[in-house]
Amino acid sequence: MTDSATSNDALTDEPLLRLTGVSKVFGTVAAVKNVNLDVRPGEHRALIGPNGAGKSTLFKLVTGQLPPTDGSIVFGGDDVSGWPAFRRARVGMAMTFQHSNLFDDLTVRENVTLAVQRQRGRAGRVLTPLRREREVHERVAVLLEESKLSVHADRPAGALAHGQRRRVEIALAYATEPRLLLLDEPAAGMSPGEIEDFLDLLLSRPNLTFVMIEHNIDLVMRIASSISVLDAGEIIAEGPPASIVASEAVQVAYLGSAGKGTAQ
Amino acid sequence: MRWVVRLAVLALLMAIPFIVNEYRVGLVAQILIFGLAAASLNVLVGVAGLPSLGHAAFFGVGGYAAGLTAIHLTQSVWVCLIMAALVGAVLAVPAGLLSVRLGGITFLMLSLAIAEILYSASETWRDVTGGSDGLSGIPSLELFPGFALDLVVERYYFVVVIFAVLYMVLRRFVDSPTGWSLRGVTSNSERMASMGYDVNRYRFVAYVVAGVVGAVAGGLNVEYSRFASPEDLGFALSSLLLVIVILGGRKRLEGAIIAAAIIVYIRQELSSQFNTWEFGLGLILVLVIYFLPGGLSGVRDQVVKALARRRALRVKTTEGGTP
Repeated sequence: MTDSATSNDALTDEPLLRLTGVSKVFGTVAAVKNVNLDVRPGEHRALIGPNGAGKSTLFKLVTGQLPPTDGSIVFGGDDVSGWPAFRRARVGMAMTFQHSNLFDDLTVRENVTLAVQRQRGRAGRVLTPLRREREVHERVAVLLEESKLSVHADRPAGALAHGQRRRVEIALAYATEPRLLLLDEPAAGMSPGEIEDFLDLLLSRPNLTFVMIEHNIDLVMRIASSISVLDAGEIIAEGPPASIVASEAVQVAYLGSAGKGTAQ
Repeated sequence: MRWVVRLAVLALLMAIPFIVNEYRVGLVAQILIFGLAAASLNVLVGVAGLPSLGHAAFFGVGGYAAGLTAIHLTQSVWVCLIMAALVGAVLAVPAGLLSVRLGGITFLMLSLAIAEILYSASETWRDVTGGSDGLSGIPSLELFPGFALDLVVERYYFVVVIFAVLYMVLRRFVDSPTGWSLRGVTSNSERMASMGYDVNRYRFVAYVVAGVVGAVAGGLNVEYSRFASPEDLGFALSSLLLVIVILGGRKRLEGAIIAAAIIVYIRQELSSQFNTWEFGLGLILVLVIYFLPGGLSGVRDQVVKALARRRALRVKTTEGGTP
C-alpha cells in the first residue's frame, strides 16, 4: 500500500476488493473467464446473471474455497489469491452460503459464540472454561437480540425455520465484524415477511460493503447501489441499477431469455 | 453441584481399599487407567471428530517409555511419567502433522497403520523391549527417593491421584474455547474456516493432547502393573478403547469412565470363564449402536431433558390451579 507506484490509487478511492483477470477452469469447462471487478468501500453490489453463469464459483474464488486457475484477488491492499479461506476470513471477509450452512447440532447461541470467540481472539484458549468468557457472551447476547434470535437461542440450529436460519447466517457473519460480506442468494425461498426481516437486519449496517448474488430483481433494485451482470463466466455489463435494467445486452442475456421462457 | 459429585466420587475411590479385597482394588485401578485412556480418545473421536483405530499406540509407547526409564535411568515415578508424556508428544507431533489434515477414513487407516508399525517394532526389537515376552524386571517406582510404591494400596492411590488430575485437565480442555472450537470443526469445518478458524491447527492440538494423555495413562499402567508388552500397543486394546468411547457416548467425558467400568468389569468376569469374551464385546457394540446411538451420555441427556420437561409441566399446572 505504501508502494510509491500505487500511491495515486491510495489517494483516490481505492477499491476494497479488486479482481484482475480471474479465471476458473474445471477440466475443459471455463466457469469463470477473465473477470475484472472492483468493489469500493461502502458499495452494495449485486451480482446477477442466468443460472450457470458462474456467480457462485466466482464467490468461492473470492472467499478462497476454490483456488483460481488464473488472475489475482486483492482485498484491502493484500494480494490474497493464494491464501486459504480462514486467512481471508481473518482480514474481514465473510460470506453467507446459498444453502444455509450452520452448526446444525449446536444451539443458535453456540453457533454465534463460535464466531464471536474467534473474532475476540479467545478461540485458542485451552484452560479457562468458555462459560467464564463474559465479554464473549455479552457480545453474543447483543448479536442474538439484533437478529431477533434471542427467543430461539437455546434451540439447535437444525430445528429452525428457513427464514430464521438465514438470520443466523447473518448473525454469524456480523459476529466476525466483516469489512466485506458476500451473500449467495440470501433471499431464496423466503416469504415476503421473512425478506423484510432479513433486509432490516442487512441494512442495519448501512456502511457495510457487500456483494450479493440474487435472482429477485425487485430486491436487487431496492438495495443495490450498483450491479454487475455475469453471463457464461464473463462480466457483460456493470453500472448503476437503472442503466443495467435498460441495457440491451442484459435484456438478451438474462432478462430476455427468462422472458422468452425457452429452454437453453 | 458439580464439585459435590466430583468430591463424592473421589471420596469413594479413596475408600475402595477399605471396602473391597486387593483383587478388586486392582480391578478399579485398571478401570481408572483404561478410563483415562478412553477419555483421551474421546477428546479425539468425540470432540474433535477424528476416528482413531490406533490409540493404543500412545498407551503402549507411554508404557514402554516409563518402564525403560525405570529400568535404565531412575525409579522416580515422576520422571517415568514425564518420559511417558514426552515420548507420547514425540510420537503425536509428527503423526498429527501427517494425519489430521486427511480426516475421515484416511485418518482412520493411518492411525491403524501407525499402531501396527509400532506393534511389530515392539515385537522385533527384542534387545530393548523384550519382544513378545514383554518388558519384565521393571522395579517398583518411587514417589520420592526412599519411598517405593510397593504395596497394592500405595500404587492404587497414586493411580487415583494422577487419574483425578488428568481427568480434570481433559475436562478443562473440553470446556475451554478450544474444546468448543473442536465441536464446531466436527459439526461443520467449512463454516469454521469461513469464520477464520484454522481447522487443522485445532485438530492437531486435540491430537497431541489426546496422545500425551493416552501415553501418561500407559505410563500409569506400568507404574501399577510393572509390566509392558506388545499387547499394550495392539489392535485389541485400540478397539477396546474405541468400544468404551462408543458405549460412553461422544458428548460427555464422564461417559467414557462409566463405560470403562462396565467394559473392564465384564472383561474380567467373562475372560476368566470363556476364552471368547471378544464375542461379548462385539455383542455390546452392536447393541449400543442399535439401541443407544448416543451412548450412555445420550441416555443421561435424554433423562435429564425428560425430567426438566416434567418439572416445567408440573410448575405450569400448579400455577394454573391456583389463580
